[in-house]
Amino acid sequence: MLNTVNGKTKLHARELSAWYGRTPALKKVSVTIPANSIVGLIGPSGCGKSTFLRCLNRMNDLIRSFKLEGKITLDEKDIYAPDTDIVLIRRKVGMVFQQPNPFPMSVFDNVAFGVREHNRGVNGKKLENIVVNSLKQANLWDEVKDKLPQSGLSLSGGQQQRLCIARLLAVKPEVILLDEPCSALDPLSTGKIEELLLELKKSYTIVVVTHNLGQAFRISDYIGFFLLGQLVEFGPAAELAVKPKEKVTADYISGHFG
Amino acid sequence: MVCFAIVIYLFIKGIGAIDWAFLTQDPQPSLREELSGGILAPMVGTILLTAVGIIVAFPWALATATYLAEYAEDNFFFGALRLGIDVLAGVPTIVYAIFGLAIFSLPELAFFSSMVEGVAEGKAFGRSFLVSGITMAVMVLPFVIKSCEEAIKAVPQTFREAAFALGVSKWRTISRVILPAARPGIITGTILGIGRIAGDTAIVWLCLGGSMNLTGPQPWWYPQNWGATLQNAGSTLTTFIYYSSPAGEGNSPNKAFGAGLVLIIIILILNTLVDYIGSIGKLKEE
Ligand SMILES: Nc1ncnc2c1ncn2[C@@H]1O[C@H](COP(=O)(O)OP(=O)(O)O)[C@@H](O)[C@H]1O
Ligand SMILES: [Mg+2]
Repeated sequence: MLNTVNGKTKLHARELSAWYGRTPALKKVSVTIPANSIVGLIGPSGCGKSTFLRCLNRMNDLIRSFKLEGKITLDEKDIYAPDTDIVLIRRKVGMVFQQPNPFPMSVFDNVAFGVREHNRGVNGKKLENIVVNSLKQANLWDEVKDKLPQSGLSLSGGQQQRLCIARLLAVKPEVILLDEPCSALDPLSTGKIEELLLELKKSYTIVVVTHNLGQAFRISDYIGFFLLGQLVEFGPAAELAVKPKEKVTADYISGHFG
Repeated sequence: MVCFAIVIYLFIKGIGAIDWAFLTQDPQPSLREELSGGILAPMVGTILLTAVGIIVAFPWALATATYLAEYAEDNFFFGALRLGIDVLAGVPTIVYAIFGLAIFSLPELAFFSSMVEGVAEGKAFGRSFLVSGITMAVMVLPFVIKSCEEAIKAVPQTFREAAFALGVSKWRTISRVILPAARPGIITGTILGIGRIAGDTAIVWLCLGGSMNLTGPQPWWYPQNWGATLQNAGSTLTTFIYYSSPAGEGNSPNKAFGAGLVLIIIILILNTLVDYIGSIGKLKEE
């Protein structure tokens, strides 16, 4: 279906269909997500982007009426296999949400939280180093280095979102899923997060849902276009921008660019 | 308005009775008011009973509330359980008292009180701080469960998702994120439970025995006597009011008003504590 740059597949979905109760939300979605790339997912709202993203770390398991068919593999291992450790999957595939959601704890504790949970032995200088490095990686260190004991909720929206990214980086996931991470942020904060994602793709595989087509084309290596639960088109961002294969994709993109 | 008038009236009638001796002397069995002593033992009784009650009720209620809020499914069984809790909240406390007395009079449960001597087939006394404390705990359980459950459910779903997305297990998410975030609400519920225990009469009357003073080995404040004190009887401010008021069995109306005022003050302090803790929680969220 698609030629990847270095050939290594990180995530793969095959014939994925999903329902909330009886309402279908995804229809036979198949896609290959290459390692160390940024995949942007676009499409009108309600078309299943979030549903698809939340399948990738089994976040939809929390919704009782949710049903899934098909297969998703992470490094060739089926993440919906019966013997799967869900907690371990979520450790490898982390997620950042639309609304920044720091815990009601200090900036330091927010970043340290996951580390302490996964590795009870880490503390003191070692923990401090992890926290500082994660904040630096998330381009937040300079802004919060004097505010570590303050509540994470006292930061600005853009800072909170980067705090959420730092908190995730601290537990060293392999894949980072972001669901419209900038939709609640101003353009300046949005720019900072875009820069950050471009740096992070060196070490992580990133899947980002975005409403902002400009953003999708600025940062993505690959773009997937969802419509009514189907993945209508998926390909390298450069190709989709110039000559999409499907007419609906072209209409959607041109409609948005006027 | 009426409540306010009652408090004012009680204040005027009660303030005259309160002095150092009143607060530091034990009650004496006398029909002459000037010889009837103070309220030390009932005050200690109220505090002891409330402590036993809430220490038993709190972990039980918190565990139940956590289970109901985070694990229970929407099915018939839990629907019935919830209905049961609602119904229990409306049962008069005298009913709990009768059950408490009946159950703890079983000789097998004499550990909680003491054996009645001279009865051939064996019968426990069934009245003590432990017995009434446990009965109180069961009585306040529905209220404390309800408010803890509300508090836990009010924690935003986004906190749960955030922790799960970091690969933290459900139990650790609950114990490290959800319960701390729900803390102000949990504390409020607990203090409301404390107020209910401190203000109850029926359970004290039946399950704590009819003595004004602590019947355990004296002096009760020696650590080696604490355990025995809990296995023995006593009184609280509420029963003190009954025993000393002419409307009840006594002849010391001023002391009854004084004790009433002290009880109201204790409950007011608890309410202020609720507001204070609630406001800390709000400040943090902003
Ligand atoms: N928790 C849910 N329960 C029921 N239906 C849902 C739920 N979440 C999403 N849906 C429905 O699934 C469809 C896809 O939603 P979603 O994946 O959120 O779309 P998008 O992120 O592209 O806006 C929509 O029709 C939406 O109403
Ligand atoms: Mg969405």
